Amino acid sequence: MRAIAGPKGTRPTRKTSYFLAPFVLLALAIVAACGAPDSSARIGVDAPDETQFPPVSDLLDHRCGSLDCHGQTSRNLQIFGCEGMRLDPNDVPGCRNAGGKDTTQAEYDATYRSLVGLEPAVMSEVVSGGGAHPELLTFVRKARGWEAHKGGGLMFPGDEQDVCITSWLAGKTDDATCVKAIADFP
Amino acid sequence: MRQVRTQRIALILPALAVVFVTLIACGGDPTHDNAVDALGADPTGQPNGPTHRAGQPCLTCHGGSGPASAQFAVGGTAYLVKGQTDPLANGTVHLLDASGAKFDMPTNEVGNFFATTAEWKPVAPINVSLTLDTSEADMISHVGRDGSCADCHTATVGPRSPGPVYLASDPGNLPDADGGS
Repeated sequence: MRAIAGPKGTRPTRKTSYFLAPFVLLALAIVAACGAPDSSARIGVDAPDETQFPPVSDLLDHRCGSLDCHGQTSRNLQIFGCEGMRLDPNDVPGCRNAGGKDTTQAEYDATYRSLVGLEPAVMSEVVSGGGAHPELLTFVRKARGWEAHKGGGLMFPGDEQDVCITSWLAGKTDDATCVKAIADFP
Repeated sequence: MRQVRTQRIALILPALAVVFVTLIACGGDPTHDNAVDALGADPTGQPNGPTHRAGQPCLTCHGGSGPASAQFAVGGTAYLVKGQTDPLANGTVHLLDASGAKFDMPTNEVGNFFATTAEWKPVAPINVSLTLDTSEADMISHVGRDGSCADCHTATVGPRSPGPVYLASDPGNLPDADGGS
């Protein structure tokens, strides 16, 4: 097959192409180098208050954190606490009233990080919206049974468990309701 | 031309059939097969039946994927005292599911208990308690999804297991103990 050249002056000759090619490559390299994102950049999460999390974490540990559910490191949502999986390798499942050791601050922190880190962008949106639409979060939809969930629907809009979690997402955890939810939902 | 095409199809079709049959024959679940293999030979030496494989996760084989034919909803082994190997014989395991349905399972001479799916189809979560005469022990948390007690109640205690299922943490709390309840 033979290339058909156009009229002289309307298309670059082969010699011109050889001359231009290195400059084009150099220009592309400069654009690529200058267009790379800053490797030290971090994306923040507009997360709910961690200091208000322990009562919510206790409820999650109680209702969702059994060793055959989210009390496992194989789950995306990992819940640590005295009723289920322990963080410290020297601790064993069982709270103080059962002869064990209550949930530690490190376990609250680990559960918080796991939950907030599930969908950081969605979490930010929910929190910046004052918790008006908690159902945007997959973990809320799963807990409500609105999305496929092996454990089924465990809480329903307006019940004590739901109020506990959504009040935290709204920025003011209803501590008393969280405690009551643990008592009312064995 | 048409004859050549027919000959090609006649050659390809059997080859495809062989490929499909091979895929179907090898189409098991390797994860499940590995879990079954990992159980190894029965350490108790019992023949297959209600007293075999005490302490092992029942639903690995009785979970519906075989190799056992009987399918369990819940199954496990209970012991009398924490840290000891005497089985909880003639006790009862009480189950209460999320719908309020109850089911009781007797423990046999090796401490094994089970409910087949034909007997009971629980709605998770399930609350569990053990009794022997007047002694009772409640499970601290509930069963969320796994009917194999030994998946969580492994032989060794650790951060992810409370150890085997037991009735009493102290032999003095057993019904026939002096001054026991």
